[in-house]
Amino acid sequence: MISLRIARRYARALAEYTFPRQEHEAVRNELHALAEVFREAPLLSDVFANPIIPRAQKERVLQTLIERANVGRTTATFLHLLLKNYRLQHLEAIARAFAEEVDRRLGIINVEVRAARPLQEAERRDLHRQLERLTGKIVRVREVVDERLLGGVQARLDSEVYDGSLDARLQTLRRQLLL
Amino acid sequence: MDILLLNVATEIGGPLGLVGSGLPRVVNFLIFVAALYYLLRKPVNEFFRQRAQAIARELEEARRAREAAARELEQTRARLARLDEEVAAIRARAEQEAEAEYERLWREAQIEAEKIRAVAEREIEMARRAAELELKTFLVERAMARARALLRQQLTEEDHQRLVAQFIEGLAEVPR
Repeated sequence: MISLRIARRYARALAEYTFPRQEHEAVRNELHALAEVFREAPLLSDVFANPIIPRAQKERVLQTLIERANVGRTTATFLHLLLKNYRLQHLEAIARAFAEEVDRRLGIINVEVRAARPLQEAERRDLHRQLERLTGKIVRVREVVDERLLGGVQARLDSEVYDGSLDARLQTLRRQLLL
Repeated sequence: MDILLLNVATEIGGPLGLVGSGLPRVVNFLIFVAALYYLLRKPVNEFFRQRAQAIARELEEARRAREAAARELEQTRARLARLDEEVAAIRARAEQEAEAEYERLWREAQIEAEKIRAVAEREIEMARRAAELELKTFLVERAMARARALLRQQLTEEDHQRLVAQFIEGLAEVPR
């Protein structure tokens, strides 16, 4: 498991390179796609993490991956750099850190909204507007219907949670009754 | 010498006709006694004198022994008298110490009893609170479960909309 600090260091370096060239979106999408491949085939991570397998053989595997995924030159160079530094098996964490770094530089914040039933379009629009006002950033909402909730909405922004669910009210009531 | 005296007596008594009687014998005896007295006077005197001295010494020793015994008896009596006092003193001291020990033990027992009582009270209080909390928790959990079930059954679409609207309004009031 790679540390978040190391993943962020690679992410920042890649962002420094891609933003001036306006390649960040393309690289993010390519890294995301490759990370999906790694997630679906854990054997790949094992191959790149295995110190017994010769470097040349790993290079060939990586080259095949690059060709099949049809990634750009920047992404390909970055992948070769990761292989050289023995970090390729941590591609998922690095791709995630790069996506966060791109969002941060673009002023985008990811918000996970959980509701007991799908939000109506007007509700979704109002909520989006309020979240953008609250954060002062571009909000990217990921809506999740959570049937465990009785009613209401929860919004999670990074480490902050705004809880407007009935469950939270019941929990507050429960705590008050137990005092 | 006895023979000589006997001969003298015989010579004297012969012509007087006394030889046939006991006179010579008496004279002879008296001479014998006188001779004995003369010869034995000193040793006998010496003997009796020594004997008297010995008796006197023994009497003196007996007297001393009696006096020593009397002194010892006196000392023993005095000691006995003191022994009673000592026994009385020891008894008195022992009684005092026993009383003090009793007091000390009584105080310690009271303190210990007080501690045990305090601990027992605390434990009872804790058990009471735990039981109270357990009962309260049980009732609250039951009430929560019942409330959840009722809400799940009875919550309408309008209620959902109201809850979402309240949440959005709440966000609007959160300062940036």
